[in-house]
Parts: sequence; C-alpha cells; structure tokens
Amino acid sequence: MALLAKTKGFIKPEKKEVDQKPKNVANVISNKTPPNPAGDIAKERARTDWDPKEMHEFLEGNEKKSNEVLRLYQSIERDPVLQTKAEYFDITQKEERELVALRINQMTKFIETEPYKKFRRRLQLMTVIDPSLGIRMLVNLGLFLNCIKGNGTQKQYDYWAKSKESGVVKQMYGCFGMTELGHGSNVAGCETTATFDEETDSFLIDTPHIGATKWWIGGAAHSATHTVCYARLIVKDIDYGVKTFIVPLRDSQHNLLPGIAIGDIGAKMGRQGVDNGWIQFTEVRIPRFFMLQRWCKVNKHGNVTLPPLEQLSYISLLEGRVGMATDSYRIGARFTTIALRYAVGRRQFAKPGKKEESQLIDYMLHQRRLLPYLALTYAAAVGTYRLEKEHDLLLENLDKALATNDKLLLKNTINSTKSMFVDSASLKSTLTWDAADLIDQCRQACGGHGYSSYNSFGKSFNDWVVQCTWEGDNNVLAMSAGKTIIKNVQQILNNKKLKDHTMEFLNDASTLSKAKKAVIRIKEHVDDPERVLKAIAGLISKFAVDLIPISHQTWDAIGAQRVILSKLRCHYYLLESFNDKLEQDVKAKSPTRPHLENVMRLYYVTNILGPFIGEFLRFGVISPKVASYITQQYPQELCQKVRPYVIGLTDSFQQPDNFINSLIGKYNGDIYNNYLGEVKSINNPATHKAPYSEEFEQNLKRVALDEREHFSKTAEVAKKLSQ
Amino acid sequence: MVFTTNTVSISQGPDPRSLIQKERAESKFNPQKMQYFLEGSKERAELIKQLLQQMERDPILFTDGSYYDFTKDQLRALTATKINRISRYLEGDSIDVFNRRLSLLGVFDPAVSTRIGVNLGLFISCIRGNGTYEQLKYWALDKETATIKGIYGCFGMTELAHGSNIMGLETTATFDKANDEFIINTPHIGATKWWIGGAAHSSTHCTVYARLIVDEEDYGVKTFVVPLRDSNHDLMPGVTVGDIGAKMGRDGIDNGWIQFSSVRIPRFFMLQKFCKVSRDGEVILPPLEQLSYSALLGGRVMMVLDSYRMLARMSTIALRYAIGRRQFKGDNVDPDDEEALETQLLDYPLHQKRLLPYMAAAYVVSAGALKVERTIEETLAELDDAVDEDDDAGIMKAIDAMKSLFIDSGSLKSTCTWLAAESIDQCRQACGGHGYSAYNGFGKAYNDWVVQCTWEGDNNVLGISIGKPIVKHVIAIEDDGKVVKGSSDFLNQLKDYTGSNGSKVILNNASDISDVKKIIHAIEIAIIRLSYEAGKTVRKESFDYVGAELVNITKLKAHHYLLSEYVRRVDEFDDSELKPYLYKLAQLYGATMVLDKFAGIFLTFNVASTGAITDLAKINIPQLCKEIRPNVVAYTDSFQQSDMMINAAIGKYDGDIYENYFGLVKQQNPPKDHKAPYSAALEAMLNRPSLEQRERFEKTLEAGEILSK
Repeated sequence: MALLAKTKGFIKPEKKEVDQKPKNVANVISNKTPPNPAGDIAKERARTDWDPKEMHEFLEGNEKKSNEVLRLYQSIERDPVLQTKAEYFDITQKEERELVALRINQMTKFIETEPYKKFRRRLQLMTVIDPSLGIRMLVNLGLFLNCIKGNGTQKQYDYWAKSKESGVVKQMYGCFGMTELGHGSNVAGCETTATFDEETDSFLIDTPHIGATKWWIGGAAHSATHTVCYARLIVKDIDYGVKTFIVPLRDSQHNLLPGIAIGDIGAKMGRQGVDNGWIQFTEVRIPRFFMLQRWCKVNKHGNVTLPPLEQLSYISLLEGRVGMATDSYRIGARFTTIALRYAVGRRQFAKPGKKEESQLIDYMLHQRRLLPYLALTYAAAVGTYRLEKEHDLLLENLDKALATNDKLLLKNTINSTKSMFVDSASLKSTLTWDAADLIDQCRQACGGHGYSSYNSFGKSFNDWVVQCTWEGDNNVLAMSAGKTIIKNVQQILNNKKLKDHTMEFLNDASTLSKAKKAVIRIKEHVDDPERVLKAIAGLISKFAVDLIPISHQTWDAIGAQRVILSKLRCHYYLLESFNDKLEQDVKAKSPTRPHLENVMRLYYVTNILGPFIGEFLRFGVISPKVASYITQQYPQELCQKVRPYVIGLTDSFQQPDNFINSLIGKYNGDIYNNYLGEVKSINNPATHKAPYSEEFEQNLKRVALDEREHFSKTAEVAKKLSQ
Repeated sequence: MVFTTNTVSISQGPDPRSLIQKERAESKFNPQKMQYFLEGSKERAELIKQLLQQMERDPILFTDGSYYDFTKDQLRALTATKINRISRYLEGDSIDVFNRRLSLLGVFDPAVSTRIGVNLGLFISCIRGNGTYEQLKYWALDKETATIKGIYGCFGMTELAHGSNIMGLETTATFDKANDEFIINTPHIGATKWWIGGAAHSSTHCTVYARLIVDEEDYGVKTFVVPLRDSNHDLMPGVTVGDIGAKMGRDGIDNGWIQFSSVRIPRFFMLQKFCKVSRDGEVILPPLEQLSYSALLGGRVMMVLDSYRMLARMSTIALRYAIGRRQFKGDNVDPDDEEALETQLLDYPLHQKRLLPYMAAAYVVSAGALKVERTIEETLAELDDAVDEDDDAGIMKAIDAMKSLFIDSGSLKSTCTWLAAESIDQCRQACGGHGYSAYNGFGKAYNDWVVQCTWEGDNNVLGISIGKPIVKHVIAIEDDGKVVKGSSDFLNQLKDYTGSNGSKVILNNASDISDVKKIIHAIEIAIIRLSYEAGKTVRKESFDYVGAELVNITKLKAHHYLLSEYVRRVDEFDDSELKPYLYKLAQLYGATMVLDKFAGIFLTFNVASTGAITDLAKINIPQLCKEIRPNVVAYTDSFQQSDMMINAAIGKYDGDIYENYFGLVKQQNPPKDHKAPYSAALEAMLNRPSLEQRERFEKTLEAGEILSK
C-alpha cells in the first residue's frame, strides 16, 4: 500500500466524464468499424463464374447422385435428431453414447422406409458429421452382416438378416468379434477357439487366455445381442485355422448369457459415442449350425470340408475400405471449406505500404499450405467415385456368376477382385492418411481458433485417425499392396501381361524400367497429365525392378519402399480418373473446365511430383534441371491461378452449414459474430464463477505461511529451540 | 492343459514382460549414466528425480489412468485443487527449483502447468519485461502473485481478430488527462480478448496489451495491468468475461474472453520500464520496442524442453510396446517351424524406421534444449544488469544477444514442437488399435500438445520470420561481402558453394552419410543454396513469394543447431563408454530426420548425389536401425521417466502390457455395469413393434382396398 499512497494522482477526482467519442451502432455498439469477413467472402463468392451445382455433379459423378446427396443433406439438416448442434461439442462420453443411441433409433425409421441404397448413402453422409454413429451402425449393418453374407450360406444370411431382422436393426444387434487383445492385424493368428463337440453336435467357444480376449469390439459393451466370432476351428484335435461363428451374447431381455463376460473398453482418443467392448468366452456352447458355412463345413460326424476359394471370404472386407476412401473425400471437402472461408475472411498483418491488413489467403505460404489439399479433395472425389462404381460392379458380377454358376465370369471376377484388393488398399491407406493430415493442417491454418472445439477440427481429427488403423492398418495394407505391385511387375517382366486389371498401365514395365531418358525433362512436360501418368508408371516400374532382387531374400526389409509404391499407385489411380473424367464428361466450353484443369495440375504437382521428387530424381524419371521448377516455382504459379476462386471451388462441395458444423466456417462468412455468439449461448457469461470457485478463492485468500506453520519457524522460535 | 497363475489359462498366453525384461538385462550400457548426459549433469538429473518422487507420492499431484476418464468440468476442478496444492511447494522452492518442478509437472499434467504458467510465466514475465523493478516488486511480491496468493494474473494479449500480429491489436488504452487515468476499451467484437488462459474463472488481474492513445495520437501497443475481479472474486464494473468453452485439448484450463467497456485504471497501472506517460500526457518511447516481447522468449525456450520430454515419453511407450508385442511371422522366423512364435514388432525393419528416429530425436533435442535454456538465462541477466545500471553499451550488446536468441529459439520452438506432435501421432499409429485407447496416453497427449504449434508464435509465422533474416544475410554476403557472425556464420561459405560451385556435391555415398560432421556440413550447404535460390526469387518478386522455402530454411537451421550442439556435447562428454551409443543416434537422426525428410532439397540442390540418397534408404538407415535395436530398452530407460510420467498402460516399466492394460480398463469400467444407463431406449428400439403396427396398419392392402373404394 505504501507505494500507492505515495503516488501522485492516487486520490481520484469526483467527477468522471462520459466518453463522447462517436460510436457506430449496428447489431451492437462499436467505437470503430469492426472487421468484415462476411463482406470479403461475399465479394469473392461473386467471382465464381460457373454453376456450383454443375461442379457438384462433376464431383459426385453424375447429376442423379448429386441430387440424391443434396436431398439427403436437406433431410439431415431438418431432422431434429440427426442434425448437428454446436452445443454437442460440450457433451461428455456418456452423453455422446446416448445421443448416438438416439440417432440410431432415428435412422431405423429411414431404414425401414427408404430404398436401401439411399439409406446407405444417408449413413455415409451421417458418418462425416457423426463418425461414432456411422461406425456403431456399420458394425451391425456392414461388418456383421457382410461377414455373414461373405461366409454364410444364403439361407444363413436370410435367417439372421431377414427373419431375425438384424438387417433393419430390430430384435437383434450384431457386432464383429474379430480383433483380440493380442492380435489385430494378423487375423489368421487369432486364438479364440471353437472346438467341435460331436456328442452334443455343438461348438464350444472359448477364450484360452488374456491375449485372446476379444478387444475393441464396437457395440459389444452395451448394444450387441450377437457377435460373429472369429475363432480357430478345432475338430478332433486338429486346428483348421480361423473360421466364423455366430455367438449370442445377450438374451432377449438384454442380459448377458452364461459364460459371456463383457466389459466396456472405456475412454478413447475419439469415437466416444461407440460402446467398444471386450468379450471373454468361457465354454460357451453354440449349435453346430451357428457356424457360417458357405465355404467351410463341418458335418455332425466331424468331417471338415474346406473352402475351394477362401479368398472370396475376404471380399466382405472391401466394402469398408471403399467406404473409407469416399469418407476421405467428404471430410476433405468439409475441412478445406472451413479453412479456406476463414482464410478469405481473416486478415492479419498489413503488407508494406498498405493500411488494411492482408487476407490470410493472399499470403503465398498460406496458399501453399491449403490449396494442395483443395486440389487433392477434387481428385479424391473423382477417384473414389470410380472406386465405388468398380466395387459395385464387382459384387454384382460375383453374385451373378455364383447364382448362374458362370465359370468364365467367376474367373474374370476373381481377376478384378485382385486389382480391387490393391486399389482399395492403396486408396484407403493413402487417402485416410492424407485426410488426417488435411484436418490437422487445416486446423493449424486457422491458428488458435482451429483449437476451439466449436470449429470442429479437434473432434473430427480424434474421430478420424482410427481410420488409419482399423479394417487394415495403413502400413500393413500399403505393404501388401506394394508387394502385389512388385509381384505384378515381375510377372510382366516374365512376359505375363495383366488382363482385366486396373494396372494394365504397367504392362510396359519392361520398356519403362529400362528408359534412359527422363520422362519429364522440360517445363512444358509438366503441363501434360498424360506424360505425368507416364512418369508415375515409369517410377513404379523402375522402383519395383530395383526391389525385385531384394524381395527374393526378404520382403520385410523393403517395407518402407512398398508403402511408397502403394502411395504412388493410389495417385496414379486418382490422376487417371481425374483426367479421364475431365476429358469425357466436361465440355470444352464448360466454364468449369479451365478451373478443373488448374486444380488437376495443382493436384499432381503438389501431391505427386513434389512430395516424391526424391524418388523421381533418384530413378531419373524427372530431370534435375526441372526439379526446383516443380517444387518451388510452378506450385506457386498454380496456386495463384486457383487463389481467386477458392470460395467458388469450396461452395461447389455444396455442404450446408449444418453439415460443415463449424462456427468459423459458415456460408455467410460472418466469422466473428457467429463464433462469439454461439460461444456465449453455450457458455453463459452470467455464470462467471466456476462451480469450484470457493476452493480457488480460499487458496488465494489463505493465511500467511508463518501462521500456517504455527509460527514455529520464526527467528524467535529458532532462538528458543536452539538454546 | 489348464494352468493357473494369477488367473486360469487354457494355453500359454503372450508374455511381453519377459521379452522386455530379457532385453533390459542384456543392455550394454547403464541408463543411469546416460540420464546424466541427457539432463546435462548428475546434479540436475538427481534434482529432477527428487522432484518427481515428491510429486508421484503426493496424494493430490499424483496422476494415473483415471485421469483419462475425467470430464472437462471435473478436470477444471481438479486442476484448481492441484494449483492449490502446488502453491504450497512454491512457498518453499527457490524460483529455479520451482520452474523445474513446473516443467516436469507439465509432462504428466499440462493443464496444471499451463494454468499456473499464464500467471507465473506470462503475467509476471510481462511485468518483468515491461514494468519497472518497483512495479514488478509490487505486483509479484507485495501482492503475493509469485506464490499464487492474493491475486492471480492472466495474459491479455490475443484478440478474436488478432493473434499473430500483436502490433495490430485493437483494444485501446486512452489517456484521460483530467482524471490521470487510462480508459481501457474494446472498440468492437474483433478486439475482444480471446483465448485468455485463466480469464474465465481464475484471474483477478490481467496484463492487457492495448494501443496507447494520448491526445488522439496512437503510440502502438503497450501493456497495462487491469483488475478483472475484486477481492470477493466478483467481476469489476465494465469488465465482461466469458468462458471460451470446449477445446481440442487442455480441458483443465479456463480459457476465456474479455470485453472492456470504458474500464478506468490509474495511470501508474501502465507498465513503464520502456515507455512512460507523464502526468501531463507526455510519452517517452522505448529504445527498442521488441524488448517488450521478451516475455515470450521464456515460453519458447520451455517448449523446446517440453518437446524433448514429450519425444522421450512417446518413444518409450511405443518402443516398449513394439518389443513386447508380436504380430505375424516375419522373415526372421523359420516358416517351417510351426511352434515358432510371431515376430516382435520391433524386429520389422519398417517398424524400426518408423520409431527409432523419434527416440534419437529425443536425445538430440535434449542437447539443444539445454543450450538454449542456458543462453536465455545468461542473456536476460545481462539485460537486466545493463538496464539497472543504465549501461547503454551493455543494453545494445544484450539486444544483439536477444536477436540471435529470437532466431535460435524461434527456429527450435517451431521445429521441435512440430516434431513432437508428429512423434505422438506416429507413435500412436505404431501401437495400432491400442494406441487409440485413451489409457495409453496418446490421444490426450496429442490434443494437449498440438496447441504448442500455434501459441506463443505460430510455427509458420515463426518459420517465415526466422527464414527471412537468413536469406537477407545471403543477399548481403553476395552483394556487399558482408560477414555474418553468430550461429549462422556458416553462411559465409556462400561463394564456395554457389554460382559455378553450385553443383559441388557434399554427400556422395554411404560412407559420407555415416559421418555426422559431413551431414552437418551438408545441412549448411543446403541452407546456403536454398537461401541463394530464394534470394533470387526475392529480388524478382518478394519475400512473400518464398514463404514455403523460408519455412524449410528455418527447419534446416534448427536441425543444424540441434545436431551441432549434440555432437559437441557428445565429443566433450567424459564417459567414453557411452559415446559410441550416443554417436549412433546422431547418425540416425541425421540420416532420417534430415536427409530422408529433405531428400528432395538435398537432391535438387546437388548437396547429395542420387547414389547417396539410394544408399541412405538401402544401406545407412537399415544398418543404423539394426545396430541401435539391441539396446532400445536401455536407451528408453535412460529417459528415467517413471510409470506416472509415462501414464500409459501399455508403456509401463515392467512390460506386462496386457495385464496392465486389461486391469486398468476393468478398474475404470467395472464389468458389472453391463447395461448402459440408456439401455432401456436401446432395448425399446430393438424390441419395437413392426412398421405396419406402428403405422396403425393404415398402409396395408386391406386398408388400401377400403380407402380406394
């Protein structure tokens, strides 16, 4: 206090003048003109010289699908249960689980009334805004039922899916009992046992030890009544490897069956709305006919018939991978929209000589950080549309071939199954990784505001990243795709060309791998997508040829290289699709065309040529003379071409506010009012003391240390005690 | 074959514990001694362990797996309780010891350390940096802030519309001569103070960054102490504070927003070490404005240290798991041996390549962190002395030191916090599905961590601002023959490696790459050539045009600093037995974190030959990984992080991965609760009547017949 008392001016004059400075009154009173991000965004929106709907049709593949997606967006944004709300970013794990259960209930209303394909599209869109809902329904409708479809007979499928109504989420709820505590990627190594008991004509399902505890099973903790259990078939002491069995977990009163122990797996990084659980089976008895026996059968005498085409049983895994690749496009669209709207509306730092600050997007570095992701999202849209179509066709042909016993069609289908395994694996792994990076980078590009939950990045990242791990760990998948690519190249070098295969472009591998001359030698070469495709093909060929000798010794040692090959394969697929679609579907005079051409170039320069420049140079596919043009100058030029149209290019994703679900990313661009307004409505400033405020205040007002020490450490006491 | 240990098993389960213990027993060096290297000295290492022991035994500060189940509200209350507890240690600790304590606490409970950090770090540092000695004494000591007593400060810098550009902040502090007061005001929504840690519930005072306006003249942004709450903890009139709500991480912190509506403070609440306003409204400006930002330096330096500990923690978890976990039978297993166990994850070359670089990075970053920490202590002390003694030459010298500290700390802060974020993510992925469980630490660590890449200098903004002077140096060397001093003096080699010497290759083959000093030299040349190329563009266009390159230059500069300092420390380390093990990590770091990551740059600018980069992938990296592999347990044990620090069920010291993990999951989620609280709704859905019935049979054929009659 002494300091205050001494200071002149401490005694306050009685009268205070009111601030007379002019203020402007709009929705609130401001003393100066507030920032106007909405104005900036509206101005740039006006630049759009194409019809966003037309662009949307390009992105979604065709007009019909575009219409369907838009109608579904509308249905979801109006649905009181399915729509998003900013306040949901505040809910706890328990509340989120309940919300998801309510949404599942709401979704069942649609599954019973709309065409199944439309429902699946609805579920796919819901997955983007509520990934927990998506996977919690998909473990039942996707994994559980696909497993039965893939491994069970048609009668078995009809029984479980239709008679027992699990296909419409009724009576029973299935989960997918594959992974164990000690085994994830190596499914063939699962240790749960299904031992045939001839006497009672049943299987005994058993968890032999802690490592075989079923783990991560989505829906097991609270929802599931049944599981498809991956277990080792043991008949007369012979281990026939891992097969699948339907095991009931809960009775019709939803109580656990005897011998079943189930627990909640608890807190996770994300997907809090999913009730993942663990399961232990202790001598659980199921009738013999609960085994799924499309390919492998056990008769009542214990005779085992093994499948002729076991690989077909894995086809059921493809759907999830294809779905995740498509998810990557939509999540990419959502987050590039948020980050780019913010980058247009936000101003920071003034350039020399300028009074007004610059829009973030006018910084070249900001363009280089975001626009490559925008371009990637466009490429992913087109590529995943193609993947979806090829997958549909494959299933159709397979069903047809099996139904009509058409051997030739079956053989061809198996061929395309092989390329679908590589394509879906490399697209799933590459794109889910890229999407994870995209969310993270877009968040960073929104600075501090990216860290607020209400702008959606945090939750989406946490919910997203498991996509890189489940249904085929990205590294494991990429390595297996890479392995097939190397084997294919070897086969081609042995003069066995690929047929009915999406990688026929490698049929020239022999020539490509021997080419002395670089494919891209001068700047002009970079403008030609066909040449760029040839360069990627050349790189894959040379790379693979280089690895073949090592692969004869060890595959493990070239794991990292196999991952790179898988990524290159993905990008070839995307670029090829993009270029084909542009040539086939977009008229020369369409106003979208010049923009799409720029976006495509930006895509391959910044997502393929740039990131893999080390490999391109090392194998002499790109000449060193153009290297810095490709990594530095050209990306900048392309960014500047795309820059003026970023609002139109993101508007073309046609995702409504409710779907975007981000306060700083709304269509009207009124960033600050949207953000502060909602933050205030969710966190009412009237409650300005914390619930625990008393303890905190007590701490600040605590008595002095001496007193709390009973004055027993004072100099006075010291004197007494030392006498 | 049923047998009973702790539980009954039908067959032999996995045994990760023995794997880890066996490798631990076979370690070739002593982790205790290694720890002395990592922490700089025996004394410092032992102090750290003593502080940690105190905290892991403390009933309130102790943290375990239950931490991962708390809600935001629970975490905030718990954080406040912990602050209360730690304030008692604070009363007995010296400032150095307490800072050390806080930094360690930050590893296992970042919300507590940050929430205290805004008060003791930012608030007080801001007063220290901008206020007079008497002002510091008054606010920090007389008012007892320094012991978290009496008042609690927050740091009112960022606004809704301004984060990185501090100079552009819009809150105003208008001098009212008549009343000898400042009027603090938020002119519009964009100037709302935003993200202010501690503002929502804790703070009584705030150092407000506001534009000083005197007689309608704008003198730029200065700092003012503004009371927010009275001694009853109620808001002051004119002050509106709100909770910023849900965040990606750091849930324990009560970040808030503040709006000031004509809030009056006495003139002497302005911090006036460098800038003063007299009673008559005369303004005296600081000799060097940037000095007032020295408040931020301490935080940046601390974040480099944090990065080291985070890298250490994450790599420990992922590597212990990688040793204990088996999956698939790899090439090291005889395919004909049916009894053979699966391969340990860490015996896959790809897995080694994915993880070992982060472990090496922890070692290398530790050295840089120590150095930059030492430098800031010395520099701030010099500056304080010079200011106290009014020694102009001393001030100028300290300012020079401060400038190079800005470069070093800025490049290190951005590069290391990015690297640590990447390590959390990559280590998580390397633990597969189990990495996604909250109980294994990654998710929370990531969510809490990543804000480090944004706050106290956005990494990209720092990247640009550090890269810029380097390119300017290069331009000046070329144009005026300038000689650069300090940590960037290697730029003086410009003419030897550009122009007609622009294609001189530094790294030609595997043997060049295994020489760390050559790698360091190669980084220098890469920086030189990249800057030279960027300089050419700058002459034609602008600095803005080369933003992406500037960020790369900054990263390379940081790697150069880290690797040089690490090698220097290893060279002078007195334990020669450990040296080869330390040196291996430098080689691996150089090969992976520098050459492999920046291969495009090294190739494009002919710093490395294509042959060298081929060897790098085929020979150097696999070979180094193979050599490091046998001692991984010892290398990670050397970080000496106890189970509480690690706080990951799959990453504990004993390596009993599955039992630890399953045990914690059951403890946190008792299996007896096998029905969800909302189970009734779920059951009602499954057992709902048929669609026809719910539609009251109105759409049946029968109804159709009736209705169409």
